[in-house]
Amino acid sequence: MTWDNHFIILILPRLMKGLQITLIATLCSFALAASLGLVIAILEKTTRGIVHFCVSGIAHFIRGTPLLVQLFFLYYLLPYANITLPALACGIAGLGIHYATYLSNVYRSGIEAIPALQWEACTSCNLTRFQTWRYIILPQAIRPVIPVIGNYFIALIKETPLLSSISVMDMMGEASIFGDMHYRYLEPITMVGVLFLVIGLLARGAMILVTTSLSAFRLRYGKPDNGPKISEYSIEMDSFRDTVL
Amino acid sequence: MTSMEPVFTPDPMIAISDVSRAFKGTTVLDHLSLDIPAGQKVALLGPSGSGKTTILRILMTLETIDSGQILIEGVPMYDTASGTPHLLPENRLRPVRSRIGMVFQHFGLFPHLSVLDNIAFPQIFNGRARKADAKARAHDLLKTVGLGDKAYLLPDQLSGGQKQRVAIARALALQPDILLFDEPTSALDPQRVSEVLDIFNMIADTTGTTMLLVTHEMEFARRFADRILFFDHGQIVEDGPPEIVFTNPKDARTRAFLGLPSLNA
Repeated sequence: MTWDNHFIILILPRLMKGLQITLIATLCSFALAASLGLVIAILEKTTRGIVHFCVSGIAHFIRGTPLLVQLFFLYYLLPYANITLPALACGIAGLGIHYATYLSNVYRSGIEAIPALQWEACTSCNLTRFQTWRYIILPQAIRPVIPVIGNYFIALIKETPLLSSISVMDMMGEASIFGDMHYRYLEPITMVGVLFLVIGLLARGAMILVTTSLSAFRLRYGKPDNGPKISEYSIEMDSFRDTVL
Repeated sequence: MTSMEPVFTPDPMIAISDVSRAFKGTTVLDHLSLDIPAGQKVALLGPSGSGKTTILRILMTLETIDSGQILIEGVPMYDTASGTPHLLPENRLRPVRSRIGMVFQHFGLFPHLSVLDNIAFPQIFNGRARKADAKARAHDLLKTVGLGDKAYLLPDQLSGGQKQRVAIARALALQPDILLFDEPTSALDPQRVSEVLDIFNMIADTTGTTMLLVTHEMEFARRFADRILFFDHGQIVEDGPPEIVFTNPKDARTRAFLGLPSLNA
């Protein structure tokens, strides 16, 4: 079998269609994982007794079973409970929930690194529970774990080909269909690999940008002489908080 | 019959009645009762583990009590209906807690917020002021504690003494009736101690805030307080103005702690 550029021209339109699905699946499932993971982490920290047991029990269960099994469960078994979701929705839900349980551990490590004194200072300032979490604990807890979250994001990108096993037509799905039709796998699969490499590098670059802009923020407002005026400072702080949370 | 009319006595600012607290079987507070009238400057002295810091933490609702009750100007902090005291639910506790402020030994500033925001945000969160007013007030308070030029620094860029003053300004910004200081001088250079004393006296003179201070420094306590409480094993063993407690205490443990000769010797 020798490399044939002709097949690349043939397959490229299909791969681009698949790329769209891959990107949608990646971004949606990461958004789900990032937000649901935070919810799990906060629930694990704030609940006690039976609720706490259930939350961390379910999280452990999901973390401890293979993603492929969960995807098959959602796609092939949920219809028996009269819940029929499109394949892509199943894939996003499965991937998102699976990674949420990983990310909840990451968030938790960030939350637990906050000294008890910070919580006590919030009480002494008479902040509500919500204010304490939203403005004091989470901004401090999330910023140091952003690089770790970024690594999980990149790992998640590389898990998306699994969705082709539940008939999602992502890049991998398109490539294998093409391969089955033309009995040519060399070009399609190589192209998929290269495209994932490119996406991974782009994601890595984006991560570095995010991380450095966060530390630049700290440096910029740490200097005594160029303290911004109150109004623009507040705007900066607000947009900063929005990017972090 | 006119002589039978009750004399109006205001509730003390803080009334601690028969409070006990044990940590894992170790008694830290042993049936402690204590009234502190408004505006008093009280220093709590005593050996480590005698319960003086625990009192401050209980007043700030950072610790709970096993038995007894605490009243802030007549308003209870605990629900004692079931026999054992339970801290009031958050919505009823917050009005009481909003009257109390605390300055921690290690300051507890929010490291991700600028010095200015450390002072301004608690006011905004408590609905005390709108953003612009809160920031203006924070600027004023920073000038008062001599840090007018540090508003946009982060807490980590300040020295210990400066952090201490920011922490004081943050507590003052909420205009508490009661201020609690947990070893305010232990993290400071000796030269800085008199600055802190000046700020405390200024607070007392201008606001009439009731102040409770835990310290190991006798000299600081003597110059600051108009009442000294000496703690040992969760009980108050000496209570009086500094000139009496420091020169002629009655209790043998206080005498020993201060290095005075025993009374029956």
